[in-house]
Amino acid sequence: MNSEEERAARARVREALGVVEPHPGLRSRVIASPPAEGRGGGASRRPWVAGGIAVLLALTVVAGLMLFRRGSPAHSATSGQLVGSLNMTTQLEFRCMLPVQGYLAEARISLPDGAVLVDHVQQQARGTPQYGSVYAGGKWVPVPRAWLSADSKSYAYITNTTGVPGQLQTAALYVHDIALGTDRKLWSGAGFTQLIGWGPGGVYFMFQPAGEGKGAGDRTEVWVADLATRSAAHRVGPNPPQPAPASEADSPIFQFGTRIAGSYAWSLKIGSARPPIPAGGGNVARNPSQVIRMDLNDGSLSTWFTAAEGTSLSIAGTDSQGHPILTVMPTKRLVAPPNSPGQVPPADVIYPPSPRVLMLTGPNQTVEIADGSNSEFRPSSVIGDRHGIWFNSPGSLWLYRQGGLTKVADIPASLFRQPTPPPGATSRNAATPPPNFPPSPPGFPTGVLLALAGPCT
Amino acid sequence: MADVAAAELVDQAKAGDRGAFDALVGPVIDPAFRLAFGMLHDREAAEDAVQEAAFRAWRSLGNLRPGTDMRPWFLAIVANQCRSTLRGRWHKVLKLSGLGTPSQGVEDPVVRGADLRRAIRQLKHDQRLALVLHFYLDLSLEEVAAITRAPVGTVKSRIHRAVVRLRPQLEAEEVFG
Repeated sequence: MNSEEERAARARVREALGVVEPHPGLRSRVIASPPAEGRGGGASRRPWVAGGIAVLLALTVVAGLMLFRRGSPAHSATSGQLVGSLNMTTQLEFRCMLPVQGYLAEARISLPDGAVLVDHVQQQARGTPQYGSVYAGGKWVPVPRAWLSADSKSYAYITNTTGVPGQLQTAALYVHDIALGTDRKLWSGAGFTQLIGWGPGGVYFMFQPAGEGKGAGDRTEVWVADLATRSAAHRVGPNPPQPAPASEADSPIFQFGTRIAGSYAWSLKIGSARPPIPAGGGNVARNPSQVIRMDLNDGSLSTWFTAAEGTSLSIAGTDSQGHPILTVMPTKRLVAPPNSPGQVPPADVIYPPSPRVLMLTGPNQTVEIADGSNSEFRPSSVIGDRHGIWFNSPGSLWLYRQGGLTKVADIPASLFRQPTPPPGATSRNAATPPPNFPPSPPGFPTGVLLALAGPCT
Repeated sequence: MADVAAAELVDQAKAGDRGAFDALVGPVIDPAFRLAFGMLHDREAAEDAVQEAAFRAWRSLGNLRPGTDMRPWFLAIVANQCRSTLRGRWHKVLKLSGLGTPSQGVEDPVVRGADLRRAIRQLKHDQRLALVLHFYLDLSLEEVAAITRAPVGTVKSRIHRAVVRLRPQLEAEEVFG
């Protein structure tokens, strides 16, 4: 084997095996393996003592590994199972792996070739709610992206207890160390909470003190829990007092859907419904929704965007600079649910038009990413990285960069199969649509809607 | 002087000082993980192998001679642990199910990599270990020899035989690369 042949072989082997880095927590996990009481023993001890210690140590390690497995449900990404390739519609000039979740499969898409590598398929089980997955540090972590710390070593979660007669509702906030599998309680209190995410100073969460009622949004507060002191501080709220009982919340609710980027949290102030509300269900007018920015350093609120009359608004995500990405639906009216059997909502509610997509760059300053004319582009998941802003859409993947939006690939339905209910389970979606259910309009996209689970790295 | 300091670290680590154990083993965790990954092709199994190897290393600290270089000593333990893992029934079952069916002539780089990885998995353990240490971890032949406890000539021979066995996949890579 000459040096040229060796050089080529070396390069091929490296390419095939790839560049892998150990999980950041591996070193601490490894160093923590031996028992703390010291090795002891040694050659001078009797063999039966050494043997006994060895057995105990082995049991300790086995127990430790079992605890680690149980406590940390994160899944390592192996080389993945190749299940096929996307149909690439744009030739990308960079290489990266984009983590996605399609139904129960956690996968990475190799770009620019489009190969799909499935790392893990979640098991279907009753009573185990799944809020999504995020790919970070070479592992799949079964929590939404906002729950994961910036260094990807921990995630936060909240428990709420309710329904105990005579007792107040209680809530607690925990932080889970992914490598060690340990949980630390940071805060607990009487009331209802929802996690917002990690920001400056700790973990932010929405809190409704007990007795104020869940879901009404009439007294929501934002708190931040400090990891170092294990204490929580009141950051803002209650929200601006309501002059009169409204039919729906007319103030920002900092909970699911709130995005933290840098020192700011972005949330929606949903416009309240305007009476009259049809008795039998039907179209309901709403006040315009607004995008509210909270400065996490001082809790101050400011309005950054007000939707036009007759449109609805949502925050799909942020770009890599922290600009909110908004979707604006040209729906003039929202619909109260029908309350008579067989009655179906209007077709334009079941099959809404494509949204306008805007990037919010300043107070009432936006850059238009999509004008709503492309019926194929209906994003719900957004992630910004150094390549641009990635969007999902039913059956396709999109990228916005250098001022232009392009469809990157079509996703064959065979790559991500819709799960079937476990044996014996009743499917809530198995009902046959009523005869008057409107058919989908021509060009309305179908296919898997991938959730974007991390930046393309 | 360095030997004295290392000997003190070993004594402290034996006594249960995690800081001392970290000072000894910590710097070689990364190459150990890469070796395990190169041998097992599975990130989680590689992390487990390194953890188990560290435990074995800790148990063997009493046998460590003064002046022993930690890196080849620990990598040799990792290599033995990988051999044990590969012999394990569950690993074989899992790997067999994950082999996939890459086909010849496909230009997809991921598929081509899978072909070569599969061929590497089919090498004899000694050849595979020498190949991974020399080509993937970029260790010298002398260090590979120290880790595998084999003469340098034997190491060269193992790498040569490994490359010969991999030649169809390596040449296919050349054609499509």
